[in-house]
Amino acid sequence: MRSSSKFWRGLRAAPLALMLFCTAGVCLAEGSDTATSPKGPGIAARRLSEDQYRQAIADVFGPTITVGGRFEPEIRRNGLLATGSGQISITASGLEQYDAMAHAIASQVVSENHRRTLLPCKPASAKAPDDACANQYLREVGFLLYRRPLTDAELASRTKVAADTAAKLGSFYDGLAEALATLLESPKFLFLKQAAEPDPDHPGAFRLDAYAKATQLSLFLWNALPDRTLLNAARDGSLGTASGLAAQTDRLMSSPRLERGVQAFFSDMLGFDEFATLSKDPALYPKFTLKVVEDAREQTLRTIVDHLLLRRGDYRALFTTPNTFLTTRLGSIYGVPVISRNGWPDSWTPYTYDKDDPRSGILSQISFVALHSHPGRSSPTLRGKALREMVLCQKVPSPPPNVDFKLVQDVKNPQFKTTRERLTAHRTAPTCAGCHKIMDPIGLAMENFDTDGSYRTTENGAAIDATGELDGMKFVSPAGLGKAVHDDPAATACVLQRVYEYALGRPLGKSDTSVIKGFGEGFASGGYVFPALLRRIALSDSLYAVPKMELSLNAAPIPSPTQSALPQSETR
Amino acid sequence: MKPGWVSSGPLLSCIAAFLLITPPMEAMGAETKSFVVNWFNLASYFSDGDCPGGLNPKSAEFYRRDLLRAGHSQQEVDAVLKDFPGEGGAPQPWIALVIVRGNGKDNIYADPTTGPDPGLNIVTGRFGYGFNLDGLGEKSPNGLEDPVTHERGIDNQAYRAFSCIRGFRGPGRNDGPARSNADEVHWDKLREEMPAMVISVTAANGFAADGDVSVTMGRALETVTRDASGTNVQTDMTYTLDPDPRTRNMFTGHLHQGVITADPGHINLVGDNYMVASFEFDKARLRLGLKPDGTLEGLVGGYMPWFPLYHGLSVGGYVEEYALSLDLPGLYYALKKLADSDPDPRTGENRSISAAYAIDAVRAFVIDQQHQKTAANQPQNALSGTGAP
Repeated sequence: MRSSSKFWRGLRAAPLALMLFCTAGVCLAEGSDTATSPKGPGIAARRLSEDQYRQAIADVFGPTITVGGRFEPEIRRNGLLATGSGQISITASGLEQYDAMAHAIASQVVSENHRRTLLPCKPASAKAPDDACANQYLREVGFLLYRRPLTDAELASRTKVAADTAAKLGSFYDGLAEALATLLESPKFLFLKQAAEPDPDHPGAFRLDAYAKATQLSLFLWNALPDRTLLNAARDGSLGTASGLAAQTDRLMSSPRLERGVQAFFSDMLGFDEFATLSKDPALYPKFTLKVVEDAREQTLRTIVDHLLLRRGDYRALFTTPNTFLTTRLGSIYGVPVISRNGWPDSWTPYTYDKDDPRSGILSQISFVALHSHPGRSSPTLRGKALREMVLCQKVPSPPPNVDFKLVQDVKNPQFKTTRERLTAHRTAPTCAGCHKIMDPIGLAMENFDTDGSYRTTENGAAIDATGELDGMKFVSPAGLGKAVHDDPAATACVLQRVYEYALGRPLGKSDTSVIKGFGEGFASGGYVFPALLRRIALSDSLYAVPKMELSLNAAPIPSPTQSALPQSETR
Repeated sequence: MKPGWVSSGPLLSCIAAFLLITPPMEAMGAETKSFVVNWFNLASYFSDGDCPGGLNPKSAEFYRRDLLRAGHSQQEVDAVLKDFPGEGGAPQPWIALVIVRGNGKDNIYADPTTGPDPGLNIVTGRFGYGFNLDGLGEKSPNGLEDPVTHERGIDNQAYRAFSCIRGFRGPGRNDGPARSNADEVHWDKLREEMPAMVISVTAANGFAADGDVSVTMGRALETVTRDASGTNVQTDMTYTLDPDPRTRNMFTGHLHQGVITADPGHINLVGDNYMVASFEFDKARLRLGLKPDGTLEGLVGGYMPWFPLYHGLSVGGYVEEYALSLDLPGLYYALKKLADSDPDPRTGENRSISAAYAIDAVRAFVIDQQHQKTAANQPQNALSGTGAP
């Protein structure tokens, strides 16, 4: 039954569109239907992220289906994993993982526990093929997984897999699982290789076709594949109209799932994937447990959602807001009491910093100061670098290869007791001074926060000097740094650039200059309200336009489902 | 708000309706520190020679002895104990026999009197930790000597009963009460499952000066959280005091050179059914030292009903017996014999035993929601200024 696993082993990823899928002794040419009716060229393919994959499985099959296995690492490009997703493929071992996951998921779907609720039909016999039932199910689930109707050829080949496997194994459900697995391990599910069509409003130019448009919109706002309603809007053409697009955009934005989408964007922008490896020396920082790591990430995301979506606050105030949320574990590090709900340590409690509190805004949270520090000590340099690159979208050069970090790492140095003193001495080397001067004055303002995020006023018995500077703006405390970032136009320009790149799934090009300028003006005039920016981008033609560069790089056509096998439920 | 001393720092909107532990004594300069109990164990002292009769037998030995006494043949006993204790999870032939080894039909853990007193060896050494509860000092018939302060007349009969049992011994310590392996294992497991024990101390003149203190010991609604070391309880966590008055103990004491002493009369600390369901100390005494690292370490003791000490272990039955080399019926009889207070007016037998427990506590925030109504009538800045740690 698992002959497909053997097949995958040793197989290289490219060319994915022509890969053969063999299951239960049945092979089908995945690319065999590419000539069905090419309507336009494909554009850059992006690999589904782990979050998107998991969400897709939950959306299509329900949350009780577990997804095991290991996902291949993602690549950050131009500050975002989302823009790196177009640069990655799947290794041979990664294919094995996807294959194993596909089969594990498919087995759960057809299991006795789930088949009654997840399958739309019951076979005439559980021990024999039933093409009608298999066809009905594969048509419906394929519509969601491929984000478009399956072509007749695609559907026929999967139905055949189901029938042949069922006959061989004497089980309709095993056959159906095998066919479902071929959908789940297909590049057409794993990669967002989107179809384009000529843009009637701009002769000679291309735009995403309706289904690709639905996927683009859904990934942008929900970080999830389009739901059935959105795909239906693509199918009936309403998504192609301004009013239809607005209606769908507003529907997506009024959904609680927008919170997940916004969290996904900021997780990407703020480099929260690094939480996976974040730890501190337990002997020095015993409060910094794995649960604190989880909570720290969640705290910042909750703060962002609360401020930007629920309060519709000014984006800039994210760096100065006194409002946040805490668990008792975070309260332990922040040094404040937090009442848990009914004694439950995982409950979240709204919390407002006092106006004189040294903490304010997300830069003072553990998610920033601990994430950008060393396991055993703080790091003004890493913090300054992170702020420049992640929050202000400024490039900081990598350090030269022969740097002597001995003095900086000597935290017990009797002469240089504080990090500021050690860095000052370190900067005397001309090769270091150039870069450090653009990072350290920022990070030194956060020196009151130890590497675990706890507040301190001394280091090795010496008072900490938390004065700093950001491009001429001077401050004397961490709160002052937050204010400086709030007032820095680069902060709003950065989030605008990042969110648009995130929506497009690619870095900005020259052709985007005027578009982003327009978004920026709207963002500013609207008081930097983030949801308004999201809506403006979602409704813009530019989000769905296909740049010429992408067309030339990806000239191979992909199938367009004009000869599609629409789910029966969608054709009524 | 920096960890450690709490001053009039930031206001918590989330707890605006609540008070951190509020001292009964309101005075200028009063300070409060709160703690959550990290370790709580019978105050023991281990050294060579404190069990001159030797350590009590291992479980295989006393099972063999008891089964033979109960009439089982040598051959039968050899057979059932051949692979003692055997693989975990599989039913072992010895289990069914040892459960009824008293009279062959009744569960001996439920009624240890179905078997005879095996006569456990007890501690007869000179030293031990605790308090001079009977006030007799050197004249106390069972008095021990504190190995650090050399105070005489220390009453801790519970220590005598337990500490020649192999599982209730542990590494020795020269500077304070030692922790037995059994106590360490039991507490280490149970502290994560039982409501936390919390302590809040308010010093009328501040902790830098000697003076009166008020102490609240009680049960929290939350369980403790371990820190990244995996060994200790995380500091500076927040705990909510259980509103049930039966779980609270509020009394006054005195602070002298960083050591808090109190003579509260009665203390009831809620424990766990698999340890001691309730530590009810009569003629209770307290001595807790504030350590430079912010922790609290010391003793609480008094006369406590002895049967709960047996019962907390007997619910584990043969598992506790073979894991700790603990002869449960033997313990029952030892505790009964060593009980030294509260005679039953009908039988004359003492129902309580002197005991002392070592406390190691770390900083915490402790909040008393019972004061909600009071808090509502106070200016908001009063809410953030008191409390912990």
